[in-house]
Amino acid sequence: MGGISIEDVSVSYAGNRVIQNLSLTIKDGALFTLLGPSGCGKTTLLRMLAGFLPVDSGRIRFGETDVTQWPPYKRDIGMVFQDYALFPDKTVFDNVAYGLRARKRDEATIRARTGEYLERVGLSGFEKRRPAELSGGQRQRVALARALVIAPQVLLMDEPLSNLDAKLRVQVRETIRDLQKEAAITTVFVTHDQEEALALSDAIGLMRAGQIEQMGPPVEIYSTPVSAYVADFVGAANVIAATTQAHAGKGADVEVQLASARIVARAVTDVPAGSVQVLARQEDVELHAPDTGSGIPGTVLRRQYLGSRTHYKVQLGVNGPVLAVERTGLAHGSIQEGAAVRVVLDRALTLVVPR
Amino acid sequence: MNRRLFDGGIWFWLSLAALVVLGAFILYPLINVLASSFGAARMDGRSGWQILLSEPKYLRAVGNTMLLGLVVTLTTTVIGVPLAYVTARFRFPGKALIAILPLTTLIVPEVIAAQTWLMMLGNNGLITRTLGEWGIPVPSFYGWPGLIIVMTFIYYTYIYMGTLAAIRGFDHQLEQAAQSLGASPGRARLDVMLPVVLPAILASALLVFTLVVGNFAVATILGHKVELLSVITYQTFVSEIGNDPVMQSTLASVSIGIVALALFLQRFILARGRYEITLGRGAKPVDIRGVPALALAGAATIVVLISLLPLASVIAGAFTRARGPVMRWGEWTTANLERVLINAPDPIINTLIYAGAATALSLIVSTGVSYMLVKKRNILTPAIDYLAALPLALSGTVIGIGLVMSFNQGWLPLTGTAAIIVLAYLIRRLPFGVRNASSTLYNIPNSIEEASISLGVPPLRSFVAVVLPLMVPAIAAAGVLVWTTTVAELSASIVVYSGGRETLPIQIFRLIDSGLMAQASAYGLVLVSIILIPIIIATALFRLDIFGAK
Repeated sequence: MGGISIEDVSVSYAGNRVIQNLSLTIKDGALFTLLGPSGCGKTTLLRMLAGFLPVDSGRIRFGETDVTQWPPYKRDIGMVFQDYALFPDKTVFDNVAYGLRARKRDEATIRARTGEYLERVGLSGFEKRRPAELSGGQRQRVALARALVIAPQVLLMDEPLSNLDAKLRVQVRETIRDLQKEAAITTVFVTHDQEEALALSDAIGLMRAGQIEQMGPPVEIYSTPVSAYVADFVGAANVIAATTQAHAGKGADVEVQLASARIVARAVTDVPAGSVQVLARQEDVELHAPDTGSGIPGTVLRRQYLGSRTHYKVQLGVNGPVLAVERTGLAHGSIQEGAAVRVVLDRALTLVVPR
Repeated sequence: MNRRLFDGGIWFWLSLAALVVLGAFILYPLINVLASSFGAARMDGRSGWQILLSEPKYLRAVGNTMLLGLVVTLTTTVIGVPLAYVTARFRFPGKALIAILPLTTLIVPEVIAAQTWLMMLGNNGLITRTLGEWGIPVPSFYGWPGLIIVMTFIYYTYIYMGTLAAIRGFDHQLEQAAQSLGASPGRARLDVMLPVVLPAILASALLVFTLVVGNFAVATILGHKVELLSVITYQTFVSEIGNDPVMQSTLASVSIGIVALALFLQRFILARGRYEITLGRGAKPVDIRGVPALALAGAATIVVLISLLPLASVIAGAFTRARGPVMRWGEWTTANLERVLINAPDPIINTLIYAGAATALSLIVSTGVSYMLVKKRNILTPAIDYLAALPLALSGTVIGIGLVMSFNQGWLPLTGTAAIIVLAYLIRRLPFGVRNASSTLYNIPNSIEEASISLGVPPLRSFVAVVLPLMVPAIAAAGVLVWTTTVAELSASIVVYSGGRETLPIQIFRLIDSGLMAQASAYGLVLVSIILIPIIIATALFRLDIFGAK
C-alpha cells in the first residue's frame, strides 16, 4: 500500500504541454479529488497516473515504487471509466471476474471474490445478465465492482457519476465512499461537480490550466479560497474589485477600500498593497435595516423568492458593485425590491486575495 | 522525448510495414501502368497517348464507355430511387419480395447475368426464337440494348440500397417541422428530405458509374460492335503479351482518369453543401390499398421478377439437354452437371482454393489495417488509409494489368502462379474489408480496451480478449461477403490467370464465348451454390446480419 506522489511531472497531449512541472502528494488510503472545469488537465493527469499517457519528465510513485516507466497493466490500478467501459459481450460475472482471471487466481477464489463484490454493490442475482440488460446505475456499480475486486493499489475514477441522473448520483456517491473507506484504497477521483467533490473527498486539488491552484480538505477549499477562481468554482462567491493601502501577511486583517466604503477583511495569502479582490460568499453577506448604524448603504435591485431561501441582488452605494446575497432563516423574503438596506460584510468571513 | 518515440514504436514500425506492403502491391503496379503509357511503342516510337488520339477506334471506345456509364447511372437511378422511397414509406402487398433484392445481385455473378440474358434474348435465345416462330421480329439484343438493360438490372440495387438507408435514417421530425412551418407535405419532402438524401444517391450513382466503366463481363459478352474501354483494354493486353505494354497501359490510364474525374466531381458537388446527417426516427411506412397498392405491388413484382430471371434461367439451362450450342428447351438432363462435377471439376477446385485463401488473408489484413487506422493513428495513417481505398477507383482489368506488368519478372516473379490470382482477389476486395472492419472498430470505444489493460492484461492480449470477440460477428459477415464477391470475380483474374488455373467465372466466360450455354449454365449453377451456401449458413444458423442493419 502507500500513497501516490507525483514529482515535477510534465505531460503533453496531442503535441500540447497540458501539464507543466506539477507536483502532488496523496496520502495513503485517502480519496483525493481532482476538481476543475473541462480542459483544465484533470483527466490528462488521471490518465497519466493510469499509464495511458507517457510523461515527458518527472516521476510518479505508488508508495515507494517508481512506476513512471511501467505500462498500465502492470501498475495494479483499478479504473472506473466515464462511460463505464463494460465488456458488452461478457456477462456481469465475467466482467467483474476479468481482472482476477488476468491475475490467474484459481476458479474458487474468483467465484468467491466476484460473488462477494457483486453483493457489496447490490447486484447479486445479476451475474448472468449482459451490460445492455442493466440500467445506468447498475452498469456503474458493475464497473465499480470490477475495479475494486482486484484490490488494486490505486483506484482511479474518471467522472464516474456524470452519466447518472441526480438522484442516482447521490446514491452511487455514497456507495463509492463506503467501499473506498472500507478497503482504504488510495483513490483519485476526477470530477467537475463541486458538490460531488466536497461531499466525497478527504482532499481536493482544484486545477486550473494544468496546475493545481489550491489543494486541501473540502472545508479549507470552501472557506479559505486562495483566489477568486477557486472561490467562484467552489460555491458561488461575490468577487469585488478593491484596493488596499498596505501589504498584509497571510491570515492578517487588512483595511480595504471597497466602492465608497472602508471595511476590514482577512488576507488569505500574502496580499501586496494596491488593487486586490474581495471575496464574500453570498450566504455570508448580511442585510440590515437602513436605520442601523453599521454597514455599507445599498439598494435591493432584485428579489427572487425560492421558498427555503431568497436571492437578492444588492447594489452598493449609488453606482457601486452589485452583490448576490442569499438569505435564509426567519422572514428571509421580507425585503422588497427598491428597498434601502445596509450591507454588512463580516470581517471573519470576508476574504482578500491578490488580484 | 526519445522514450515517447519508443513507446509508440512498435505500432509505428507496423504502420510502416503496412505502408510498404500496400505500396508494393497497389501503388507500384499503378505507377507502372501510368508510367509506361508515356513510353514509346516499339512499332513506331509514338507514345500511347499519341496513338490513342490518332486512332478513332480508341476515341470511340472512350466516348462509348462514358456514354454507357451515364446512361446506366441514369436508368438505375430512375428505378432505384422511387423503389427505395416506396419501400421506406409505404406498406403494400408483396413488399416482402423487395427485401430479397440485395440478395439477387449478390448471388448472381455478372458473367452469369449476361449469359442468361443471352439465353433468353440472344440471337439463339428462347424468347427470340419463340417470338420469331409467332412471326414477331425481335431486334438484336447485342450492342446498346443488351448492355443498357443487363447493366441496369445488375446495378440498380446499389442505388436502391444506398437511397433506402438514407431515407430510413432521415429524421422524420424534420419533415414535420417543415410542415408545421407551413410547407405542404410534398413541398416539405422536396425542401427537407431531398437535400439530406441526395448525397447518398449521388454516392451510389457514382459507384454505379465506376462499376459500369470498369465492367468487363457484360461489356465483352454483349458489347458486340460497340467498342468499350474495358474490352479494348483486355484485347490489347492479350495481343500485347510479350510486346511492349504501351497501349494497354494507356487505355488502363484512361479508365483510371475517368473514374478519378467522376470522384472529383462528386467531391466537388458534395463539398458545396456539407450536411451533418443526424440519424433520427424514420417515418413509419403508411398502408396503401386499392388500385395504387396494386399498381405499386405490380411494378415492384416486375422489377423483382426481372432481377430473378437470370437465376431461374441458369437453373433451367443447367438441366437442359444441349447439342453443341443448340439448347433443346424442355428436354431435361443431368448430364451437364455430371460432366462439370465429375469429368472437369478443376475450375471448381481452383475457385475454392484461390477464393478461400484470398478470403482468409483478406480478413486478417483488413482487420489489422483497420486497427491501425482507427486505434493507432500516427503520421503514416492518412497514407495507409488512402492506399487501402485506392483499389476502389481501379477496375479489375487495370489491377490485373498492373500486377502482370509489375510481377512478370524482377524482384518478385509471380506471373503463372496461383499467388498472383489470390493477390488480385485480395487487392480488389481490400477497400471493402477495411471499410467494414473500420466501421466496427469505430463503434468499439477505446475505454473498453483500456479497462482491460488497467485490470492487468497486456495490450495485445487485451485486444484478443476484449476487442476481437466484439468484432467477430462483423468479421464473419464480411468474410461471407468477401467470399461471395471473390468467387464471382472475373475481370482481374482473367488478366492474371494462366493455363490450368481457370476459375469458375473464367471457365464460364470461355464457354459462353464458344456458345456452349448448357455447360456454362452447369458451372454457373455450381458457382451460384458456392455463393449461396455460406450466405444461407451464416444467416440461418448464425443469424448474421450480412446486409447491414435492417
